[in-house]
Amino acid sequence: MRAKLSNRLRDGILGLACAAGLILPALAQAESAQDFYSHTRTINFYIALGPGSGDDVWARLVGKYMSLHMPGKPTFVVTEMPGAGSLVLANYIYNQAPKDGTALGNIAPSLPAQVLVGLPNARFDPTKLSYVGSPESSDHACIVMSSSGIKTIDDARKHEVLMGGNGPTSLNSNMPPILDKFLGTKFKVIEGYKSVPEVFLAMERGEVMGQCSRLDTVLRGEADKIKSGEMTLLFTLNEKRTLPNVPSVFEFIKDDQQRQTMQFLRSSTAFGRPYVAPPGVPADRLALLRKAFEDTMKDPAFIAAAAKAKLTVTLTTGEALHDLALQLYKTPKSVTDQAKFLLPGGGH
Amino acid sequence: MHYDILHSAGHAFLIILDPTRLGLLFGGVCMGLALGILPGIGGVAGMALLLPFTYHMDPNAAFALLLGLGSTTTTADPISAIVLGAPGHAASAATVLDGFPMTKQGIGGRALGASYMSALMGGLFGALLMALAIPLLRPIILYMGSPELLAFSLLGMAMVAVLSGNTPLRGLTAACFGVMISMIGSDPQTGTLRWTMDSLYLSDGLPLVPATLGLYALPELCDLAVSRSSIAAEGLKVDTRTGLLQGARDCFSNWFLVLRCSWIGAGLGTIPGIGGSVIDWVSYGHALRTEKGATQSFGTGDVRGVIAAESASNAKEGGNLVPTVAFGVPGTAGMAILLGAFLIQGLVPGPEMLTKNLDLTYSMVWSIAIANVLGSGLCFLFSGQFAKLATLRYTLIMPAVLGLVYVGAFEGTRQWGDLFALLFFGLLGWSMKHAKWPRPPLILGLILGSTLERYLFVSTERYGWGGWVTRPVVLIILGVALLGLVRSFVADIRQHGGFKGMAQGFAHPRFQPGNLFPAFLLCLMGVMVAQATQWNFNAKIGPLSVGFAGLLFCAVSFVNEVFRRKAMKPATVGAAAAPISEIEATTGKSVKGQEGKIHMDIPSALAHLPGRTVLFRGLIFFGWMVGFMGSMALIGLIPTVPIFIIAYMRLEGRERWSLVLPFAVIMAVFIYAVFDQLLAVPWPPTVLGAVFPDLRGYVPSL
Repeated sequence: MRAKLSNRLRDGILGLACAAGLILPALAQAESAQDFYSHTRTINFYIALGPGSGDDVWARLVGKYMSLHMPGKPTFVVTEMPGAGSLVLANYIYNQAPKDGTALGNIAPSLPAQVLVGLPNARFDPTKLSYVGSPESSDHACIVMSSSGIKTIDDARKHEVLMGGNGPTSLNSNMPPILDKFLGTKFKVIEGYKSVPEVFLAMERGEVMGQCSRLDTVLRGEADKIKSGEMTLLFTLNEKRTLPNVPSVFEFIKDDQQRQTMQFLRSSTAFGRPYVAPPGVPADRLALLRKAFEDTMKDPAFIAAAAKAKLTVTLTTGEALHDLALQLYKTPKSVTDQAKFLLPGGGH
Repeated sequence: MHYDILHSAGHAFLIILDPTRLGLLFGGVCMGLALGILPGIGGVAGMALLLPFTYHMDPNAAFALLLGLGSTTTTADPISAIVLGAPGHAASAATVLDGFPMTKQGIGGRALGASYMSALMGGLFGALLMALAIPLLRPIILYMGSPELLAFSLLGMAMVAVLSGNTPLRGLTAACFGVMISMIGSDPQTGTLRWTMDSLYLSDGLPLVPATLGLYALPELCDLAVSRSSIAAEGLKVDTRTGLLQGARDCFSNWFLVLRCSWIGAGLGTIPGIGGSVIDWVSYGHALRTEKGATQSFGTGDVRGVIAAESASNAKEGGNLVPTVAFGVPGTAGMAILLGAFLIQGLVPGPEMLTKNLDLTYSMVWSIAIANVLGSGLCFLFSGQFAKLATLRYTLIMPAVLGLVYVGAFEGTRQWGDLFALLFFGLLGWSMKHAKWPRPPLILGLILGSTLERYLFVSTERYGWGGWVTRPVVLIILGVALLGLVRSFVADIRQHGGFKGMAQGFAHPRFQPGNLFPAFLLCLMGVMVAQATQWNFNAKIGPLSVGFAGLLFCAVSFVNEVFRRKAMKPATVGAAAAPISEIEATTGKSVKGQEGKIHMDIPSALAHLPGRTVLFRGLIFFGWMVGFMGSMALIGLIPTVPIFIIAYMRLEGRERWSLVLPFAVIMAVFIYAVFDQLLAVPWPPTVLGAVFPDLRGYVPSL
C-alpha cells in the first residue's frame, strides 16, 4: 500500500514536472523582451575576481545603475566565480548559464585572443558570445622609477631595465620581451610577483625599476608620483596617443609584420572590460540589454558615482565588441603563431 | 611630530565614538562573531557581503563596519576549532591542536575562555603596536625585499622541526608532500600547468579551505562517528562558567607569552607578502620552543598552545592594516576587501594615509581595538554554552556539522573540485591520524610552499645567490632558523643514543597495517616526481628538489619502520599514547619518562576499539560522504541537506521523528537563507536540473 502510494506520488511529481517543462518555455517565447524583464526579479552578474577587485567594484556600480534603465528594475546579483583567470566563468556562461537573458559575466579582455591562439580547456567560441558592452577602455603603459635613470625609450635601449612580472599570461610579463624584440630595448623581467601592487612596492624599494600595466591602474594609484617626477611613463600601447605627452609604442615600430603582431597583441586587450551573455539569448532581449547598458554609460549619476571611485567611463558597445571578435578571428595564422606567448607556459 | 600623532589618535577616537559609527562597528562585530562560528565561512564572506553597503557611508563608518566584522571573526573562529575540532581556516588549525583535546577532557570552557582573553589581549597589543609604530613603519617595510620575505618563509618552514614532535622523518616527509601540493597549478615562472590532471580547478592551485577542513574537521567527525559517542567522554561534567574564568586567568598568568605572541603576530602581519595563515603557526612554534615543558605537553591539551595561537591570530589584524594602508598590498583576503572599500571611497593607499589621512588610519586602529573588546566581551557573555555541544550525541552533531563543512569547503572556490579536495584530504587526514603521522608539517608546507618558491626565484634572479644570502636581515633570520633546527636535531640524536644507537637494531622485515601509509605516499610522490621530470627547467627545479627530498625521507622512514625491532611495550608520555612512535622504532627501547617529545598531533581516542571495527565504521562514514556528494550532483546541495540529516539520524541513531524533522527543516532553511539568499553562492549544475531546467525556478541550488 505504502509502496503504491509513493509510486503514485512519484508519478504525480514527474507528470507535473514534465508539464511544467513543456509549458514554461512556450510561455517564455510568446512574450516580448519588455514583458520578460518586467517580471524578472534578478539578473545574475558573474565576476571572476572577488570582492574589492576592479571587477567587483565595476560590476556593482554598473548593476546598480543599469537596473534603473531596464523595465521592471531587476536586481543585479553580483556573484563571484573564480578560476583560471576568468576561464571557468567563460565556460560557465557559454555552456551552462540560462540563455534567457538573466545571466551576464565579466570575462578577461585577453580571453578571445588566447582562445584563438589555442588556450587549452577553453570550451567556448568567442565570436558567438552575446556581447553586451564594456564600461572602460584599456590602454596600457610601461612606467619606470625615475631614479633608475631611464627616462625615454632610447635610455631603455642602452641600459638593462629590470621589470616586475606577475607570470606568463600577464601583460607585465609578456610585454617587455616583445618590446625587446621589436624595439631593441633591454628590458629584463623578474618573474614571480603576486600582483600589480606588489610590483609597484618592489619598484619603490628598488628591487625592480618598472612594469607595464593598465593605464587606468597606473594613473589611479601613482598619479602623485608621476606628477612629482618620481615615476616616468615611457609609452602607452594604443595605436594613437592616449596622453598628449606620452608617445605611443607604435611610433617606434617600422616593420609591417611587427606592426601586425603588435596590433594583434593590442587587440587582446582592446576588449576593455567585456560584459557578455551566453550565446543564443533572444535577439530582442540582447538588444534591450545593450540599450540599457549604453543608457547607463551615459547616465550622469552613474558617471559621477564612477568618478567618486576614480574610475573613468569609456563606452564600447556590444556591437563593437562583437565586430572586434569577428575581426580578431580573421588574423592570419602567421601572426597568431607568433603570439603563442599569450598562453600559459608561453606555448613552450 | 609627536603632537601630530597624539592629536590624530585623539581626534580619530572622537570620530569613532560617534553613535552611528559605533553602532555600525557593533553591528559588524555581531555579524563577525556569527559568521566566525561557522567552520570554513569566516570573515571574508561576511566582509564581501557588507562591502556594497559601504558605498554611501563616510570612510570612517565604512571602515568601522568592515573592520568590526573582520577583526572579530578570528575571535569566534576558535569556537568550532576547540569544540568540534573543525578549524575555520588554515590559521586556526594550530588552535585545534590543544583546544580540541581540552574539550575531550571536559575543559573546553577553559580553552574557550583562554582563547577569548588572548584574542582580546592580542588584539589590543597589536593595535597598540600599530598606533605607536605607524609613523616609523614605511621605511622599515621598504627595507623588506623579496630576500627578507624568503628568509621569513624559511624561518616558518624551520618550525617543521618542532611541529614534527617525536617523528622527525615523518614530519619532514609530510612537509615535503605539503610543499609539493602547494606547487600544484600554473607555475609563476613559466606558466607550466603542474600536476593539474588537466582540470581547470587545479590550474589556480589547491585552495586552503577545503584542504584544512579535510585534514582536520573530517577526521575528527569520522572518529566521532566511529566511536559512536559524544566528543567529551560521557559522564564528564562540563562546567563552562568556572572554565571560562579559569581560561581568562590563564592568560594573565601567562601574560608574557601573550605579549610575545601578539608582537610576533603584529610584527609579521606588517610585512607584505607574508600570508596570514602562517603567523599562527610561527607563534605556536615559538611557544613550543620557548615555554617550559612545552615539548611534552603541547598537542595534548595545554592551554598555552591555545593562548599562543589565538593571541597572534588577533594581533595580526592590526599588523595587516599597515601594508594594506601604506602600500596597497593586502596580506589577507579580508584586507583585500578592505582595499575594495578604499577603491569605492576614492582613497588611494600610500604615504598620504600616514600624513594627510592620518586621522582615518588611526580611526581604523581604534576600530580594531574597540571591536576586539566588544567581540571578546560578547563571546564571554554568550558563547560559553558552546562548550556543552561537546556533550551531545554524535547523531545530533554529525549531520549538522558535516553539512556546514560541505558548504564551507564549497565556499573555497565554488567548484565541484572543492568537494573532491575535501574528500581526498579527509581520507589523507584520517589515515595520517591513525597511522600516527603528524599533520601540522603538512599544513605548514601547504601554506608556505608556493611562497617559498616564488621568492626564491625573485631573489636569485634579482640578486644572485651570493647577493641575497648576505643581506644583513636575511643573515639574522636564517641564523635564528638554523639555530632552532640544529638544537632540535642535536636533541633528537642525543635521545636516540647518538649515531651509534641509531645504527643499531636492524632485523628481518616485518610489515604492519601502519606501513601501508608510507608505501602509499612513496607511490604517490614517485608518480608526481616522474611527471615533473618532463617540465621545463624553471618549472621543475622546485618540485623535483622537494620531491626527491620527500621520497628520501619517506623511504628512510619506511625502511626504519619495517626493518627495526619494535619496542616491547608502547611508551606513554603525557596523555598521548604513541604506540609505534619513531623513537621506539629507532632506539629499540621505550622512551624514558618525560624527556622525550610527544607525538605532535591530536591523539586518537579509539584505542579501545579493534582495528577492524575502526576501519569498517570509518568506511561507512566516508560512504555517507560519497552519498552526500552523489545526492548533491543529482538534486543539488540544499535539498540534499535535509535528506542527509533525516537519513543519517534515522539510520545511524534511530532518533525520534519529532526531533529529526524540525532539525532537518531548520538546517535546510538556515543554509538556504545564509548561502543562497545572503551570499548568493552559484550552485553547480545538477542532473535533475539539466533534465528539468524549469524546476530550477522552484528548488534552490538545483
